[in-house]
This record gives sequence, structure tokens and C-alpha cells, in this order.
Amino acid sequence: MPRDESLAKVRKFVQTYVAKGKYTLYPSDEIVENVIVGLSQNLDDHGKMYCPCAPIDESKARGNEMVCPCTPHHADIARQGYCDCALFASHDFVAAERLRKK
Amino acid sequence: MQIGSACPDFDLPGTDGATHSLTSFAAAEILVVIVSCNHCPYVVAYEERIVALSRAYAAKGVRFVAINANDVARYPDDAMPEMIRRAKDRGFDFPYLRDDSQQIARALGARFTPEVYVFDRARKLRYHGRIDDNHRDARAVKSHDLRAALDALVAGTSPPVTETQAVGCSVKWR
Repeated sequence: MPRDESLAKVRKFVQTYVAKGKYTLYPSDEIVENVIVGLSQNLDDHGKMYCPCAPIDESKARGNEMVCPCTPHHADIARQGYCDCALFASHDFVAAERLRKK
Repeated sequence: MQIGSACPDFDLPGTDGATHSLTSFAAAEILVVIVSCNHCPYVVAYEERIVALSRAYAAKGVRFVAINANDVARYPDDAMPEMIRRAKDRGFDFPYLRDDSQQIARALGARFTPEVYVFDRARKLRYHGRIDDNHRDARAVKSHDLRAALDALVAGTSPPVTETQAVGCSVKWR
């Protein structure tokens, strides 16, 4: 498990990013928590919040592109409604998911 | 995909050079379909466990098939040549199929890799979700969800849990 201070740092970042309002969280607490733990673990192990859904060597080779919030996340959310790690999602996607699950 | 739904038919090329359809698995009592890929670290973490499960349940009439639908334009590592290499390197003893159109992954309603679908003899969905509850450490797994579902179905009963949340990378849609 990642260090508590890493978890706290990632949680604060996620909260701050979502508060900006452009995106919200993917509509599954389990998925979101898993990504937060993965980001925190990468922060501990590799010094940066590399996306846990990408191979770490590939991410490191791309500089900061795959550090959360990663460069592709805007395009990913525009295409499918959520980023590839399923941490951030569009408000429209979350609303559609709520309707789908009713 | 709802529990009880029929398995969508498919006709997909495999790393073994053959084309596989649902009827290719007609002899199987239980069919495990795993939406998978090469690129995802979660899949990599699970590959050894998937191969072990496939081997452990083969004699019980359970067949596994993995399907990779990731967009190869964005993720070239998920193209067939790399899939062939991966299947050989990791000793896959089950077909590993390429879903270029992404139609099967969409029909299954898959969103993550790996995401598991277990179909019974009538090819009705009986379990959907994760393999177990700890992708990071196989030794720390507390809930062996796929194994529990297979044990129940092999014994002729219903899985104790029919749906769990698959955790992994998103399927790379075009």
C-alpha cells in the first residue's frame, strides 16, 4: 500500500481538480479509489503521479505526458466520456450512466 | 450485459492463426470470455493467474478465450503480431482473439481490461466482473470471485456472487 502522505496528496489533487468543474469523478467509488491508490503507489515508487493504466516504462519515456492529469485525458473524455484510467469523467457521461442504471 | 443474457456470437482471428467463433467452443461446459489486451498493466498483473485458472479448470470442461479489442492506431502494442508474441511468451493455453471492429467488446458491454464473462452450457451469462479482489498482489487476494463462480457452476449450482466491479484500464475505443 502507498504511504498515507502520498494518498493524502493524491486525494487533495483529485478533489482540487474536480472542484474546477470541467470534469467530475468516474461514477464508481471502487474504480476511483483504485486509481487513487495506483497514482499514490506510483508517486511513492517513481516520484510522480504516473497513470496506473499505462506501463510505467512507457510513461517515463513520455516525460510528464502520462502524469495525472495526463495529456490525453481531454481527448479520452471527449471520445468516450471518461479518461483511460476511469478517474475523471464528463458530467454528461455521469448523467447518462445514472439514467442507464435506473 | 445482464446476467442471463446470451453470449454474442463472434468470428475472430486468433494468435494461433485460426478463426474462432462461439461454435468453436461447443464442447465446453462453461465458457470464460475475458476482454483483455497487451498494453494494460492490470492485465499484465493478472496474466499468470489467468493461465493458472485456465489450466486448473480445463479438465472440468471450462474453456477460456481472451479477446483484445483495443484500438491499434493509438496502441500498436495491441496489434496481432504483438498479441502472438505475448501469447507465446506468457504460455497462453487458450485462444487469444483480435476484435478489430470492437463489435464483440461492445456487445458484451465491456469497459475495462481485464473484464470477465462466464457463460454456462446454454451460453447464458452467469458471472460478470473481476477475476479477484487484488490485482496488485496475488498472495493478498481475499475474494477469488472468478474461481468461486467456476466452482459453483462446475458443481451445478449458482455462483455465490454474479456481478462484481471489474477494475483495470479502459478498453481503448476508437
